Amino acid sequence: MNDATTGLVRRTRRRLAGVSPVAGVATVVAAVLLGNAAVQEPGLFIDQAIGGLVYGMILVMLSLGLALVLGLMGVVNFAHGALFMLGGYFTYSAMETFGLPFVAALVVAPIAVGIVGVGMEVVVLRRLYGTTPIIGLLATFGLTLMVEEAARFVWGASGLQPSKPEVLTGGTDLLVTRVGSYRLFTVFVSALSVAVVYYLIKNTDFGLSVRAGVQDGEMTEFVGVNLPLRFTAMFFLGSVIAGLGGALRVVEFGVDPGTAEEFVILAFVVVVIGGVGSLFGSVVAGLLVGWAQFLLPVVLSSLALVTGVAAIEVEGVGRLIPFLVMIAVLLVRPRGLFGEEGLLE
Amino acid sequence: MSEDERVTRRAFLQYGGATAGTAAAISLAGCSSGDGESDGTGDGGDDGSDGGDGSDGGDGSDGGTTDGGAGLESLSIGMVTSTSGPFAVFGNAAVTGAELAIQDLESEYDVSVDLTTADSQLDPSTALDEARSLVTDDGVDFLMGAVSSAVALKVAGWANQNGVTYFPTGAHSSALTGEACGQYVFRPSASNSMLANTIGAEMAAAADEWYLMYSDYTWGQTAQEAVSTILEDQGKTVVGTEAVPFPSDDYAQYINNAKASGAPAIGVLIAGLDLRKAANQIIAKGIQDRTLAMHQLEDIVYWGLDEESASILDIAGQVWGPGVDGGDDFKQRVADESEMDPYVRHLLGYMSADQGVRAAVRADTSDPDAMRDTLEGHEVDSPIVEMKGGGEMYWRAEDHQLVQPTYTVSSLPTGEMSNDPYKTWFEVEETFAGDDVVRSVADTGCSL
Amino acid sequence: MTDATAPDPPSLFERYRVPLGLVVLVLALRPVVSSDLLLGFEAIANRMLILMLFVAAFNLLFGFTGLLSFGHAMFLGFGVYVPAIVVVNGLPGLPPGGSLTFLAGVVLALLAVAVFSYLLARLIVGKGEIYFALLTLAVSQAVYFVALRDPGGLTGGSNGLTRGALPAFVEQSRGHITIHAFGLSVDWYWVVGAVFLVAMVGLWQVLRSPFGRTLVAIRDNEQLARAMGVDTTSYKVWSLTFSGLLAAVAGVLLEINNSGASIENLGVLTSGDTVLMAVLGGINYFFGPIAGTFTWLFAEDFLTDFEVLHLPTAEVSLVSVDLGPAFQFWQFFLGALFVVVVLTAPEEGIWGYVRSLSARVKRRLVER
Repeated sequence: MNDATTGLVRRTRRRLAGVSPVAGVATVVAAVLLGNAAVQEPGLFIDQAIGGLVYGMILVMLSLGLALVLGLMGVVNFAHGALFMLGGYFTYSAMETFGLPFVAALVVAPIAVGIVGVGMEVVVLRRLYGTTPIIGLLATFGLTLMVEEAARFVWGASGLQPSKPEVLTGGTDLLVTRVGSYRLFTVFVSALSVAVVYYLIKNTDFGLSVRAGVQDGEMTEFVGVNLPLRFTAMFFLGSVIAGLGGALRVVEFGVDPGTAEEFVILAFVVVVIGGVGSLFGSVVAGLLVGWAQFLLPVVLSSLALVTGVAAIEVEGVGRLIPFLVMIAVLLVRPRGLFGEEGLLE
Repeated sequence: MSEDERVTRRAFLQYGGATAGTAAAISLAGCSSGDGESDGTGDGGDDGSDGGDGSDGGDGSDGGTTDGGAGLESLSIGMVTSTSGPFAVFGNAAVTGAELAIQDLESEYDVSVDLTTADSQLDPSTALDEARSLVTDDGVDFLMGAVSSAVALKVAGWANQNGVTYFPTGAHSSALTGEACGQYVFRPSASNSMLANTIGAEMAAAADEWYLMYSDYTWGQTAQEAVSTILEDQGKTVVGTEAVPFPSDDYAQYINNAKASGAPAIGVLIAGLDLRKAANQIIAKGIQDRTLAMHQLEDIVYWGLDEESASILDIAGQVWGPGVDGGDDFKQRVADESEMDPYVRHLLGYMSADQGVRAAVRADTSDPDAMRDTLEGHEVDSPIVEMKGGGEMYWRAEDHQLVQPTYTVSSLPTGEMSNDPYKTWFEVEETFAGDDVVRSVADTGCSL
Repeated sequence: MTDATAPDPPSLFERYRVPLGLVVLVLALRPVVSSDLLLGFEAIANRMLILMLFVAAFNLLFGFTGLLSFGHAMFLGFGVYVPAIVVVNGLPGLPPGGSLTFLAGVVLALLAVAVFSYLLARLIVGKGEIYFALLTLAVSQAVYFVALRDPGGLTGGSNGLTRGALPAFVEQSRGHITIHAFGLSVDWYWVVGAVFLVAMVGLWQVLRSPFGRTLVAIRDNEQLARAMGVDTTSYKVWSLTFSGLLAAVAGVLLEINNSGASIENLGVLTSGDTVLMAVLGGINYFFGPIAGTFTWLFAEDFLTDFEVLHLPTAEVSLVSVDLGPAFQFWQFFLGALFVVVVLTAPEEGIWGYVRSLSARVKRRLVER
């Protein structure tokens, strides 16, 4: 064995040593199950993988905003789902009522949501910095109700969906299957926006000052950083990206007054699984939740095929899984996959 | 001590009297108003304290029953349906139809009829509360409504237990005239089994293997059972079934499964406007060239799609549509008076109100038992017969099903789809007499 | 008379004002609510009492122990579903639809919920406020989805259970429910009232007891309580167990009231509404949940029927304001009120406000 290989082996061994046995076994089992599914039903597998990716990216966009606010500012913002929903509604209005083209709506709606978010922050959330998290949760819960009713008032109680732009209707051929073009577009846009947000937080002075402000607000202000402004700006960013998620989703799936509650619960699941305080965790967890929901039925049916035990193929597990995982995470490892210890405990 | 007491009481009266008085005045004002629109020109909202104003025995034991033999002078109908949410278009159309029927009935008979609507919010327990409130608070004589069969099932159960006549206007689940049938429930639309029988022969001729997707609640479940039975009776195979939660946002998963099953034909037994999402996904996945069948086509679902998507169904059954030869006046009225193009839900609303009021007039009372007796076995001869194409219609006594003609339809070629004076995108392929498609009494599982 | 003499020992009235208040509530609620001045129909009084009990059960956990549960509907669900399932399917030796079958179902439900909440509590009470809330939400959603899946055909999925879900001793006629038991025919409202009274007085006794006072101490300052040697975890577990049990009792009443079970009884809206009603009413007070529930349900019925406001009276109408469209969205206004309450006086709520108002009025009157 030459040096390069020895070095590689040694490095791998060191890496593996840091991984807990449970995580290791879990990864192997998951790989086996997924591989089995991919081999047995490749077309379906890819379809569901893409579907899961789309759903997961939407969840990431929603959860990123929530994680930002929660992790950086310590406010449990239940109203984040309402911002997501407004993104959908504003997009609908922009396209159907005001006749804006799709791309314009995709820019205008999130910004409008950002403005609403800032309004929310200034009027309500600011009073919650420093109170117990439960108060924040309750107040934002009430806010969600108000936004839902306002949405019902303005747009009615039925689901709404703007028409898809011509160029994105229909499917694209992708290896063994066809996938909706719009879905691929969603993946592309969401990946791009997540990358941008990430860059903003991690690599700019702006993000640095906010992170410093969370760690030690007094000192940061002492140094001359205008913290309330930075926090508001951060909230704006989180709202914009949630609004963008809603905008992307409404064209394909529509929006209705129940969207806010439905998605905010999922957003919390994602943030908790990923780990409060970790943006990377939210991204990973969002994708995991999306994939779990879409791929689990395929995995189960392939497993049933291979083992011949039909009972394995339980229907409807998909929607249950995120909650079971969240329960497991909270019981076993409350800080989630990548979170910091002690936050919110 | 006593002096203090007196002072206290006087002070209280002075202090509290003014506040209480104002409060009372406001609430009095609020309650006694709202009787402006007595024949419910509809915006589907709650018409509040109309006709059965609580004075009519609203909280009494049998709200609004007039004396037998004294001649029926007024009737109050309560309608629990979806006026908001995913089924709002359907519910509101039924309300419109009911209002048109009331116009006709009031001019034909010397009875004043009023309609009070309540929103079920697509939730059976809310619907139950609303139904109960309509009967106890507003004192309605009989109930109608429901788009969702789950809602209908709940209200029907309550109505049967409480002795209230109920017409589940737009609910097609076979259970309502099957194992959940009851003394006081009369179903005005066709049942899933009737519609499955309508398209059964064509489905069997089209393909040997079928994959059935269905909305996972009583409507879809009974539809899937009925269709499976029909296919298997004719020697065909159902290779798989897929219960799709309703409502759902994303049909990609389920269409994926349908596609992966390899079956050359797919039954798309999806409720309401979700069918649009399913249709879009079918096109996105490129499987629209497989044989697609649906047993209960409602035109409005397709009007929201572009014309290419609207024609993906190869086999479709229908209770009624603008393409049916009959009821042209009615269709015109709907188009003129509401801003909607006429489709089946308008007619169903009309039929329910029509049959309910006529039964009460025949029985000369709104007493539920008398209404039941006059409905069972009754051969219908009101305008609705002509609207439904002229075929025989009667209320079967054994399960309270309105036996009526059904149709198979297909979409017109794009160039022939007409939008004026109202949308007609489908034409009737074949008409089936009610007696040919209705299941035998033994098969219903109903024992009245 | 205003010297600083020793205060009089509380009179009998003072000491028992809670049970007395409850009795007055039960006796007066239906007549008041069904008067034409207010809502004009009776059946809503049943629902009010049942939900008051449910929200009071929730508040035992939140207002008096300090644990926010966002999934209380699952406990209610046990009380709604288990008796319904038992009555529909029967048990070995007990026929479907029988009265004894129903009672067996109730016993089963209460046992099941007690075990469930105890085990759940053991798992989750130590986790911290927010995580506790999220966990209750997740578990309740899991229960919801499991019931939606209709395991073994028992729960009826999204259809719920209607046919055959009522025992023989319940008789209904045009919305009036009557209970036939032991040779008597009792109006359902009085049965609900009796159960409500017993349960609420029981709750009051629990809160007055050392156990209850310890719970309040834990709510106010858990670390101090622990430092004083109180096993806070154990107290919290028992609080959750009892809260779940009481919620299930409300569920049993709801099952008869609604002729069966609906999946929405397990839904997140039910849980959410409970939080709203409790906080709105005032979580620090025993009567808070009652006030909150009454306000919410009253608003729901009164405001949605409200159409035109005539000023000053309906006959002599100088100004009429069409409030119908606005009041359809009554939840917006109550939501706003809720936010204001949370931001300004989260523990006080409506009842707290009423009390402080009446205290001020009393002071003003006595001073005269």
